[in-house]
Amino acid sequence: MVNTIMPVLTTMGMALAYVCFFGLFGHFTNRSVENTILRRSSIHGHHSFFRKFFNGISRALGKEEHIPRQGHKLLFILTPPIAFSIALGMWTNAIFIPGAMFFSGSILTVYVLYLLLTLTLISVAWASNSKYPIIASFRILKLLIPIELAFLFLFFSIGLHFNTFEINIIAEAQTASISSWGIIRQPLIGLVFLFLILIKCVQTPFDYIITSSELAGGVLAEYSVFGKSLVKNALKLSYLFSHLFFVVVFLGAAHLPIVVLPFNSDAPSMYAIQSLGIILVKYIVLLGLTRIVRLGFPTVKYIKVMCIIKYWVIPVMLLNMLVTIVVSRVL
Amino acid sequence: MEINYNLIATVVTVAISTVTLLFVFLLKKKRKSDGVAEIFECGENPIGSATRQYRVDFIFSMISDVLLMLIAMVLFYWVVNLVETDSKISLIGTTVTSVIWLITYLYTISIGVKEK
Repeated sequence: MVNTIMPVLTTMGMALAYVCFFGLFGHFTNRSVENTILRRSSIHGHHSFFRKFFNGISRALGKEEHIPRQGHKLLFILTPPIAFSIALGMWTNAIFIPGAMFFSGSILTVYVLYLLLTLTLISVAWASNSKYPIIASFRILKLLIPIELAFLFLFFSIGLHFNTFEINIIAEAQTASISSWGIIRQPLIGLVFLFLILIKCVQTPFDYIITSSELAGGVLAEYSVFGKSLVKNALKLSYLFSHLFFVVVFLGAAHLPIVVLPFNSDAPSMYAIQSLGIILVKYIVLLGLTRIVRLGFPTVKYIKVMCIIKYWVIPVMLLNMLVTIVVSRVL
Repeated sequence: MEINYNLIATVVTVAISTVTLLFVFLLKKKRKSDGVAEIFECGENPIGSATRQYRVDFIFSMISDVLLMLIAMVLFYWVVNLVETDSKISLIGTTVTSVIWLITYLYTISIGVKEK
């Protein structure tokens, strides 16, 4: 019994440590870039993180969550924590420490968790039993199903290219040289992945669906404090995770193009720390870049994004998958 | 026993797609008395100005999307098979399912969204 529970607890503990470590660095990077671009004082930045954190805790303890009268009470209460645990579950797939590998998931598992996160948003609307959340959930379905389809072809292309779905094997395959990096081999897929992630995790300048205002009809309109913050943080965590995933799958994980790290088998922990440092630097640079794109990109309407994905991204991804099959299997 | 994550992923994804399809039908049935379903059926979105330029039949469009998703799940099975076994039958299965998916996709986009 202990033998079966211990690995699970270790994995969950590692995931939490990962979330705290990469999550905090990611949050501060986002805030710093935003403050620099928008010329805001840091009171909206680093300090507000702790202020919001303690505010959230005190509100969660002291303020009662209003449950709609005809809503589904159980779903209404349970869905936000489930959404948050799904986001944590994503991070268990990214525990990638070269030299001291604990657990590494499959990219298909990541895909399934993305799907589940979408489903929780719809479940939230269903439980609210209110007009605006349900309308918003229709819009979410309409936009997110094409995104999921594009994601599916994208992940297929990665799997077919590297001939595996295991994340650690994909990361190992990129350590030979810079030409073996995913972004060099499959540049189109990398860029589309970032584009879709910006939309999916509500980090876009697009006219999107999840807002706190009832007029805009977000799925979280019926939630007051705790549930809303859990779902929003779940989306934020999945956004940060996607960047780590991008670094591991497309940017060569711990591989540096110029400097070669000496692997000392006597001190694997030292090597692991070095590698983690490299992954962290790449992750922060990538987060900064996407934040600049987010803030600098002109606003696009929801229907336009839907049309771009449906008429351009999905066919291109399917074509890319077929070309990958032809190049890797037939030729 | 070694856990086959790919198999679990396949099963869970198929289950999620089916549940999503059920959601669409249930939502439509549930909201009919409030008139929300009629709003979607006539193709107008009451929130924001996003759909002014286009006429979108939401219910039809969503069902066709979920249909595409379900066919993509068959593709899911074949591609996982192709990566794991590298057999000729899975290569043929992948190609044939891709073509079926493409035909369904072209059909749905030809009647799904129309300009106003």
